[in-house]
Amino acid sequence: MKKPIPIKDRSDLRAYRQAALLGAPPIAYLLVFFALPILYLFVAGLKTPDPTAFIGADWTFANYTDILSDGYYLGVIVRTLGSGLGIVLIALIIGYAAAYKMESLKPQTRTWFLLLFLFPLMVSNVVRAYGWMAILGRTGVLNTSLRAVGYDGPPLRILFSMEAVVIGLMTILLPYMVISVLNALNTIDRRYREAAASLGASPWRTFWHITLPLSAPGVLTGTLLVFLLTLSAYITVSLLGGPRFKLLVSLVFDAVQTFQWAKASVLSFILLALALGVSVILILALRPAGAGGRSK
Amino acid sequence: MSENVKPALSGARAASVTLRDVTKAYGSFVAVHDLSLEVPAGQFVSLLGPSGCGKTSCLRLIAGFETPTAGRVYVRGEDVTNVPPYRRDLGMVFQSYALFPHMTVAANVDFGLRMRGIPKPDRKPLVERTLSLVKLTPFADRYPKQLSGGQQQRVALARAVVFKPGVLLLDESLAALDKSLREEMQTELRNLQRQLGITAIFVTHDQEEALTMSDIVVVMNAGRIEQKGSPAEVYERPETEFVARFLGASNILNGLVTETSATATRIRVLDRDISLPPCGVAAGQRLPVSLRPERIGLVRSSSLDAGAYQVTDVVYRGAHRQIAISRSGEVPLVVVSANTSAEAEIERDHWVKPMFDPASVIPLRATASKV
Repeated sequence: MKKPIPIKDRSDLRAYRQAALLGAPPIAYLLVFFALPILYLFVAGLKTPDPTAFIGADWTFANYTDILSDGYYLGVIVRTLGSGLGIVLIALIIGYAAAYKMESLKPQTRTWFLLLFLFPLMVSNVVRAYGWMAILGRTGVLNTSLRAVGYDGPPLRILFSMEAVVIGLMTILLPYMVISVLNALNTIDRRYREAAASLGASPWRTFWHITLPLSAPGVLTGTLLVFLLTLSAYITVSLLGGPRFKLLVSLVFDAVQTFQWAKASVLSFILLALALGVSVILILALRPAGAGGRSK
Repeated sequence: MSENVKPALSGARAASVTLRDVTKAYGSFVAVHDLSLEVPAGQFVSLLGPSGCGKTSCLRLIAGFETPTAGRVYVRGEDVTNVPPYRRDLGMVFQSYALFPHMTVAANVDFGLRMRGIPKPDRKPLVERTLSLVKLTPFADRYPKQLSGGQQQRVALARAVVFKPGVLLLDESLAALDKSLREEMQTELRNLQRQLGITAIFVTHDQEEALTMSDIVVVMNAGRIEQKGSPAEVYERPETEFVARFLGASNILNGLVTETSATATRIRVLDRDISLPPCGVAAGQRLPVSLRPERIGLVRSSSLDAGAYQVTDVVYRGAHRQIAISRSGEVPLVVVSANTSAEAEIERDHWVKPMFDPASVIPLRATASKV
């Protein structure tokens, strides 16, 4: 059944005008300070490299083809994508479990747990990363403690590895996941779960068929936040990953440091493409099915 | 409701439900107080009472969402006190319907069958027949949000009965509907319950609804059963003041016990001497009695008559009028009379005398006792 397209009447027009008026300042701001610079940056990547000028003289695709055919860069791209998705998965599992447990707590107890999760965010990124270095380093708290309890093998080499980055990022990212999922779980009427139970669904099947799908909006928000924050995390990655574990962000930084503007531009746009691509896939996959009622 | 749907769903075996000495306390608040109740298989039983009387707690105890602090719950004679809700043979309709918003109407109805591991080819015809039973076939692919309140109510009902449970639990299930739709659904629900031969336990605070639909009405107050009986019994012969007041307006009068014997108690009320069955109240004491407003007739009198009442208020209610009469130093009496009756000419400030059959005077217990 197709509904007739509504004719715009006066009140519609007024609503549009109001929306335009309210939306104009932020849109103008984004256009001038975000869209235009991005376009400028994009052009820089399509010009021949010139260390003395931000934008080279001639048009070329060589910057893209060079990087996308170089095994080293491809490796970093795959590593960035892989570690990003891995971190999202770990954060989703731990974060969902924590949020699920917290949802059943009394509101007051829940607030305390939430504060506990937020506590790491109150410490600066740099301070927190150095803290992890002090814990995970070759002569750090972890290794000295192990030695103190009688472990006499070679020291654990966690620092400057993917593990260190994952551990370090998790303390920043988990709160985003927990809060997103917790909010979604909070909005699910307890009666849905009771209804499922009355219809013969065990707690596990109730979770699978009812709670999980209904919390999809929160999972989507949390997953997007964590993934995008992982892609743009620099301090944690460079301090805890060190020279051995480099991600795309680190390469952009290195390129800028050495005045390779064109290369920096290309790497930035690859990063942007990854972020956009994965976001679109996540949104399509976790779109709440009919939860809002499908209006045809 | 077409006939061809009957065979599909008539396989349900109605189950009896028994609560034995059940107490449910939340901290220091006792919601259900040492309550015993027997619901025979196939009956439509209403739990009626004001909010906070423990009726919903009772239903949740039967459903298994709550565990009793003390006492046992039986379904079909089996002790299910510690059986989780998903292993009890019950269908439930919630006040808010609790239809799964991310599933279509058909998927909602199908859910109970799916959880029971019934193969898909067998489920499909059952879902279709149940949807046609509640007249929702054209809406099978819609989402709950796209339905009206009455349609959602029907989906909830279909979802709760499709797997042929032994007992159907209804928690204020019609409360969210408007009046005319509610009355229509009352009839439909009752027909459906008879057709399926299912036991129904219906929680409501609406006395009219309870009287209209039930085989047995259980009137509850403060976590206890005040009275249990057929609609006519609880309405015509209330045992306590609470029941008399809760089931429609009633005149609660204080009779004076004049004489007691082994076979009768005589009381004086409204200038008349009435003989009641013995009720253990000593002579000279007060005995509360109930007299329904529609059981009182009025005849014109005059101000010269010492026992006459004056009409203080007349409220027109369509089919009937509600007339308040009073006499100095006494509680006003409420009289309900049909507009077609002789009382139709009675106006405010008229002098009248009340008439009633002594059999309409029902003695009351002041408080609930443990049944």
